[in-house]
Amino acid sequence: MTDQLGESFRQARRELRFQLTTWALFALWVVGFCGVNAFDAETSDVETILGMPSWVVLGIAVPWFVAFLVTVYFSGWFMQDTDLVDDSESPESSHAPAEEPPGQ
Amino acid sequence: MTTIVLASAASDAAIVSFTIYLGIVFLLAWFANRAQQGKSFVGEYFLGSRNIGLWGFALTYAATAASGGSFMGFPALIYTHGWVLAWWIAGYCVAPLVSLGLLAKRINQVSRLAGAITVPELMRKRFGSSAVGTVATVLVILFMFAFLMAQFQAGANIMAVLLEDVGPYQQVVQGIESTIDGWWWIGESDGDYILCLVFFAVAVVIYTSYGGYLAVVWTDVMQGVVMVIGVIIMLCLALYQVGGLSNATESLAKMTPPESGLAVLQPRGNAALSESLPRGTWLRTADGGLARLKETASTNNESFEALFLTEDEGAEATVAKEINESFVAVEVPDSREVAAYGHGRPGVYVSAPGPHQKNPQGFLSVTLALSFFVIWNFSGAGQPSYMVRQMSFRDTRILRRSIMMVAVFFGLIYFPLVVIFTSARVLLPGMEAYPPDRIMPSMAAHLTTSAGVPWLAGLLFAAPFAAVMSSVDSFLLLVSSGVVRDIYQQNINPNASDKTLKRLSYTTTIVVGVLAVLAMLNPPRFLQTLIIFASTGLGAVFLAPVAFGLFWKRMTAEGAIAGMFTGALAILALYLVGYWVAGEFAPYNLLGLDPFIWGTFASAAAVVGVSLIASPPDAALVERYFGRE
Repeated sequence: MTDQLGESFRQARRELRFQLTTWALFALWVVGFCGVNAFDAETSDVETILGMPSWVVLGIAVPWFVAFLVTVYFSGWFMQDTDLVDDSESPESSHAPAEEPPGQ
Repeated sequence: MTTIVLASAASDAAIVSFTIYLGIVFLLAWFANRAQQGKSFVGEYFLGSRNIGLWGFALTYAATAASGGSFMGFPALIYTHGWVLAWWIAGYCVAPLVSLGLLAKRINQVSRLAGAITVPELMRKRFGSSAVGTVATVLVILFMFAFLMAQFQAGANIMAVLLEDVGPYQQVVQGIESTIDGWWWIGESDGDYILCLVFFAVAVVIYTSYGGYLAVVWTDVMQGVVMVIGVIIMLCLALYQVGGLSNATESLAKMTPPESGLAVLQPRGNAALSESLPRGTWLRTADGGLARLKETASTNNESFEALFLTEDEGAEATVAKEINESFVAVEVPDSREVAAYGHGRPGVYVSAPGPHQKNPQGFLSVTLALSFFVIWNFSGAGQPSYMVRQMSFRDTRILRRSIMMVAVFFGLIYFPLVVIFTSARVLLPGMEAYPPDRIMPSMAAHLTTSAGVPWLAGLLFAAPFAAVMSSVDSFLLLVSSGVVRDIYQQNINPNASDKTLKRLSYTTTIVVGVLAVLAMLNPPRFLQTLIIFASTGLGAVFLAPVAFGLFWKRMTAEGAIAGMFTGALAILALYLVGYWVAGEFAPYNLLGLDPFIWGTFASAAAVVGVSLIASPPDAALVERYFGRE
């Protein structure tokens, strides 16, 4: 039981690293690209792609789509299923009164 | 005339849709109550016995995240500041991965191991300390009650906007206003606000207290579906009516912010002002431009607040049939107020930082954009209302598929809203003549009436209702679970029977709702700031202590308490500095960064620093929640 829990904890930690790295990369892309290009677009002859200002497409719409693909990869392949302990197996079920845990 | 017909048709549709919508909500609450019978009360009532499936988990999470702000405040911001709001909201592109995925698996696992059904209970058992649980309970209730009050007011405001053109409703409102005139506390409030607040509160308290968590989840599913369908319909209608997105963006690029000022009415020829001109009436100015009344103009020669359009080319064609040609709006000299950023600058609506009425730096700086990229992801992950949801999914397959589903949901809601309401400035110019919250229902009414399907407005009107209700019910349940589970059952009567807990839960939910209504009968001026304060406060208080508690074995109870207090104090300090600097309740963005970021960093530093100083945690406790290396 505790060995299984230890392995699932290590897997959760790997997933945490993936999530934080992904967040940082997209923050860099979105904030970096828009920070450089969105302020230069203040003109009545705005450059558009698919009807949107080009900085919106390249700095937000494209990263949003790529982020969706990364999310699909993460939840479909990278994230592993874990056997969650059922309430009934836990010494302190949610059905029980709120008593003190071990180690108190 | 067009406006009156439009408002009437839309109002009828709003009433019909709202009635049907409420009927379904109460039906779901009844079914939920039936489904709970024969099961252990507390676990079922507050957490649905941890048996929530894909649709329930994904949509209850997404619907709670998309609160009233997403459907009222956010559209108003897009209309006011333009395409830069796409950057402001862009953090949602990774929110399903981070906000939902970051802690969900571990929270669910640890809460099952601990048998915990609330966040304070989870923390108390994870650290083996009653003090941790008590501090967490007090902070959850304090911040969440502030959040709850603000959402009640948002719900009342939405109802008031949607019903304002309904005749019988106005008669009741006038009756209320004449009754409460001079009363202590509520005498200065508007009658429509009080009526809507009480009605909204009664509805949401009844179905939440009767149906519990299961009713909240089921109604959230329905509300989530309503939101998505509503936005998709609006997107199609908006793009069709604006003549395509390219046309909308090109028109928007030519626009500059309208200006406010005072005007007097001058009759053309023999025209006489026999009756008042309502707010929103379009008029020509003396030099042939366009102005719109921001208040009702009556028969005397007083000046009236008006909005002056600065780029009339597109608006002329759009509102040509609505212009009252009998009068001219003559501007009062030196009365005009221009935008602090964006005045006379074409392209300001299609670029950063976006126009701003008061801030000469514009709407969105790079540091503020970074702040929001952090907030949308990590503040969400730190909200106790989301954490409770993460305790309730059945298995990790549900979690994995839910992350994908929420990604689709956010993609279908947020980016399309930007497209819809940048088009709104082209289709409905001069909406600054009304309160900002008016844009969503006005756009829904305009799109459906122009398309010849006014009844469809009902569905679109239900979306913001759904958004606010799905947030309010969750917060209501969270506060009452704090009182029942973490205070009463933990400290007063650990062996309370199911019957006692059931009675107490119903009573607490109702009492919390009544207290929130009483507090909001005289609403504070700084509502929006209160919402941001409460949500970022909760995030700063709980994110680091819970996240470290789930992933760091060395963390101690002392570190958890220090982290929660430091996060709360940091947020409070930055708001106090903001009050001192701005002279009103406002955040102080140190180095341009939101207080949430400073609060979370301070909290994390306190968690790590104090835990390392304190004695290592009990080995048995660590093994219980982390297993063996």
